[in-house]
Amino acid sequence: MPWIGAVAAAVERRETSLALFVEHVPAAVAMFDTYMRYLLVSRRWLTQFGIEREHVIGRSHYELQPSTPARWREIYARALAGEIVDSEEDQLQDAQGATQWLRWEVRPWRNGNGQVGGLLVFCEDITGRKRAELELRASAERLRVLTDTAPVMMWMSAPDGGFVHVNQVWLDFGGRPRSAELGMGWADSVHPDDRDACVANHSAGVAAQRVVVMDYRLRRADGQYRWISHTGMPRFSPHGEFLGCIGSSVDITERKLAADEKQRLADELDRRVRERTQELEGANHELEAFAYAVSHDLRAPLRAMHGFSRALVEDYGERFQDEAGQYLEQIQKGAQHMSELIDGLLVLSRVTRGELRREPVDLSEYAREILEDLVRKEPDRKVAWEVEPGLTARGDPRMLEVVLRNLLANAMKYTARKAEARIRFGTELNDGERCFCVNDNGAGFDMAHAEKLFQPFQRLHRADEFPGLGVGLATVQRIVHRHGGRIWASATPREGASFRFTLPAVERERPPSEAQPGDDK
Amino acid sequence: MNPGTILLVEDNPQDEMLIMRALRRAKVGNPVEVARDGQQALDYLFKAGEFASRSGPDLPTVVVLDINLPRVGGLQVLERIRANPSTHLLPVVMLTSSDEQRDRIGSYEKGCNSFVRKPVEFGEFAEAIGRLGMYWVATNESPTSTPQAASTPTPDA
Repeated sequence: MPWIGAVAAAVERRETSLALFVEHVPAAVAMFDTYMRYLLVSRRWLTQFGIEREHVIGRSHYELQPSTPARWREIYARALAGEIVDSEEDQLQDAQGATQWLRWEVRPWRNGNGQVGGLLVFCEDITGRKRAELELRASAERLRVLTDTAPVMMWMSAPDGGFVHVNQVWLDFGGRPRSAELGMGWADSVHPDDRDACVANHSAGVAAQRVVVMDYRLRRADGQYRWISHTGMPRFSPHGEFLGCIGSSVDITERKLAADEKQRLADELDRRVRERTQELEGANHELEAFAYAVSHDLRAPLRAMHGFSRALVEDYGERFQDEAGQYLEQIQKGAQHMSELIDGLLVLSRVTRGELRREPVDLSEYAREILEDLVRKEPDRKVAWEVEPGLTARGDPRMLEVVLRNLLANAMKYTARKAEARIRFGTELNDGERCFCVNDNGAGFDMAHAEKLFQPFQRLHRADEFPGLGVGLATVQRIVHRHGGRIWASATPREGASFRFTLPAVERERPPSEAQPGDDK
Repeated sequence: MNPGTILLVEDNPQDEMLIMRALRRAKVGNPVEVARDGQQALDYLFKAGEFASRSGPDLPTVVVLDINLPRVGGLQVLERIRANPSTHLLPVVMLTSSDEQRDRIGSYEKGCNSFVRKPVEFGEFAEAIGRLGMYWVATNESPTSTPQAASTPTPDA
């Protein structure tokens, strides 16, 4: 019909501001008449529907989009009938088959008579927004699955510290409904003794927006309180805004119990050690008192025995026969012997319980002095002695003096029958270890009985051959052992004996002296 | 010259007998007073208790004092002797059977003049007592005797 074309041409040619506006508005809008012929259209609409501009105005939408689905035709029909139809989000397939999301509105417009003159259609492609929304939801879902399946209790709080989320593990632990845990409800499960501190720490951490780490007891679903290690961290938006805290908690009951048990055992051990030390100190004191009493009380009767026997001999001796005198002499000897025994025992006991000092000791000097003293006491004997210079060791000076005195006195005693006694104190290398050695050329002893040598009261010589008690070597061995050393002896009968022993060395340098053979420390 | 008295403080009757015999054999003829515990010794020295009205010299020439005594111990007696101005300079010889260092050092610290061990071997003991007697009674110039020109005591041979 030619007049329609003339109207369309006229409309098209009239560059009204309205037409310009609609053309350029940044939305997909179109205006139709009742035959769904385009009256006005925006560029975006054309782009969205893939329609070229020149052929649009006056053309029917159905003509331009013959594949318009029935659904739309129905919507248009309804709108033409006077209904406003819209959708906030409508999911459909686009021309290529991909999923599209649209927001649209179709409303009728009325002419001056109030009759429907056509439709106004607004359409927005919200696919991008919708996809982002779905992705976000999927991401949140993944996070939820993660937090619910990780074997750790997790929570999230608002900026005021109240919980807004707890994971399934938390709920399974507590056995209470989610609503009970939100806000500050979670704190109801904290052990009454720990609650105040726990809440205070949590609130302080929230307020200061800093990390909180703490332990407290939390009631489990079965009613038992478990020790929990709680860690809370602040979280911030990308703009740095504080959003609250997020945290996790772990059941550390076993670990805590083990630590407590360890502490208890350590305290118990401490207590026992202290008790034992006190006992030992008490025992030591008793021993000391005992030794003192022994030293005094046991000697008094011996003095009497010895003294009065001697007095008898001195005052009435001429009235006795020889035998009587001998008997009395035996009494005196007995008393004397017992006195020496007591002396030996006292030294032994002192050595055993006495405090061991650890100082550098000049053994060469001690040996020299002792030998000079021993030789001076027996001026009639010919004694050739030698002491290796510069020998030192680390130990108790008094006790080491006893060692040397005993060994050297023994050497003197057992060389008494030799025309010229030879005694030497020096060092030897024994299997790579330096040891001290006292050698003599005296009576020696039978190696077969060597193990008796260091036992108290065991003698390898008859008393009439070499008088003595047999306590000395036991004492020497005790001292050497207390210093952590070893002592051993070897001998050839009638040719001589050697007593070797080890002692801790003095650290670092020894006093300057000539180099010692085999001494490379 | 007035032979001075020796005060022997010894609780053991056997030791007492032996000491007396030793003094006799060493020809120390001075009178010997015997106290058998620390309290008796102090009572004697300060004329108190049972000795409140004793006659004889006020103070002995020398006190031979055993360390282990009943009632009041030897070291305590020594302390009291040194603490009292009237007995402050009295020569005191400590006797003991123990060889504990602390007894020896303790005695010297408290101001004894001499320290002698009581050995079991009687010969030594007797000699020691004899020498003691001779030295303190005969040779030594005690603080309370008439002042002589030379005041440094010479030890006995």
